[in-house]
Amino acid sequence: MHSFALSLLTLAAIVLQTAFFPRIGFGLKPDLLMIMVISFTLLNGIKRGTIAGFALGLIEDLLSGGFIGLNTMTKTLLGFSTGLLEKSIFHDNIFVPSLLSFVGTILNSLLYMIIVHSFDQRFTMFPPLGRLLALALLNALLAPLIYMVIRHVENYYARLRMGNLQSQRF
Amino acid sequence: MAQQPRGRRLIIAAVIFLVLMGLIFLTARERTRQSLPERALHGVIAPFQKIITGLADFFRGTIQTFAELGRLRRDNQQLREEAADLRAEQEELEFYRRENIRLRAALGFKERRPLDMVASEVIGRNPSNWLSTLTIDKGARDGLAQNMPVISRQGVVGRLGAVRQDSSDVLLVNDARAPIAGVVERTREQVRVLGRTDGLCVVTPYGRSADLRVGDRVVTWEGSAYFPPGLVIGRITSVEQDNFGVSKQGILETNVDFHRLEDVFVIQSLDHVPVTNGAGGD
Repeated sequence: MHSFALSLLTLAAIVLQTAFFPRIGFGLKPDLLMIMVISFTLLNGIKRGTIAGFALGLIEDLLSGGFIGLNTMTKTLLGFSTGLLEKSIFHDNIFVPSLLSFVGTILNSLLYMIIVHSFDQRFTMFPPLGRLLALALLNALLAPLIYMVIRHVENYYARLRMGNLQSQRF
Repeated sequence: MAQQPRGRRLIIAAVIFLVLMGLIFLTARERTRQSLPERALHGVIAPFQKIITGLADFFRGTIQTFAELGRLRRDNQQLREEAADLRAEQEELEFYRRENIRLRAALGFKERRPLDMVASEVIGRNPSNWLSTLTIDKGARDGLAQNMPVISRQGVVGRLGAVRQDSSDVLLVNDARAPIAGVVERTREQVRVLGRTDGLCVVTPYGRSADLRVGDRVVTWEGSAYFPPGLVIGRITSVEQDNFGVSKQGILETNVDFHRLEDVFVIQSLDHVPVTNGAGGD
């Protein structure tokens, strides 16, 4: 995907995640960046997916104000493991990103809290179960939408490239 | 690009892992200053956060206004009556305030000066669901500094973490990194209030034979390193034995609803606000 479009999408996701969703007030912030990593990996494969996980995780870390490197690590792993699955699943079905986001949220949050706890024992080792499941469900609901947006942008740039090739041929 | 051999890829992954672990270790504790990339990224994001926050408020406000139109007239009438009552009460309180000043002067006490406060708007939250910080639209340019207490009309919000030029992060009361020294209003017993990841706080008394009850109000302690005394932190909603079964601990719900928080005040006038370099908190 064109890096400019990806940057714009990332900016939009961050602003929605930090300013819009907390403000409309249901107490949970969907992890839009995580859904982006999963969707991007499904469409681009393991290598670019892992790099995207690293980059988006790092951006999230720089905005978190502490534990820098933590999201970088968990999201890189997420990109990598989604990439491992990508070849063996039929991912044109929009329920696939949904299911992966549900499972991804749970594994991602567990790993996150275990690492946070190991560096600062004032934090509990496990996230509260009810909140975790609600978050996983929220992410799963939003995943098809984000997947479709990213797929749409990918297709747009693919068509653009095809057009360029054809115009060069004639 | 040529495919790298498997061994080399593993080494690269291991090095990245170690570097990230080192970074997490270095940034797990409170820092006095954020790195340049962090400040730069916040600088880029803050204007967008402000716009989106404004838009979200506008939509929420418009929808609420239409939904509540019928109730507004009744509320208006009721509020007018309440305002008249409050004016009368205020005059009475003014009388007592003057009397208090006179008596304190007679006793040789120093007059408590009103707090200098900076009003500020909440423009963003921590992207993570497990860390409780928020971003406000005032920073070092407005005279803010790390550790300054942040309050709202409902009570204690938290204290300032990282302060940048035009925005700052607030460590909320329910973040585990910002413990507060409090007292139970009913018994004057000193307690420690520590945040939990589910948005509630754990209240641990310093004395073993503590008397905690559901409904007890916890306020800031006179000797708190950061907060003026007597500000409401929250109410105890349940009391349980601690993990060792030795003493009691309470679960506290903060007075401030952090999900709906829009405006906060940063208190600037405390004489002594320490800047910590290690584990912060009371």
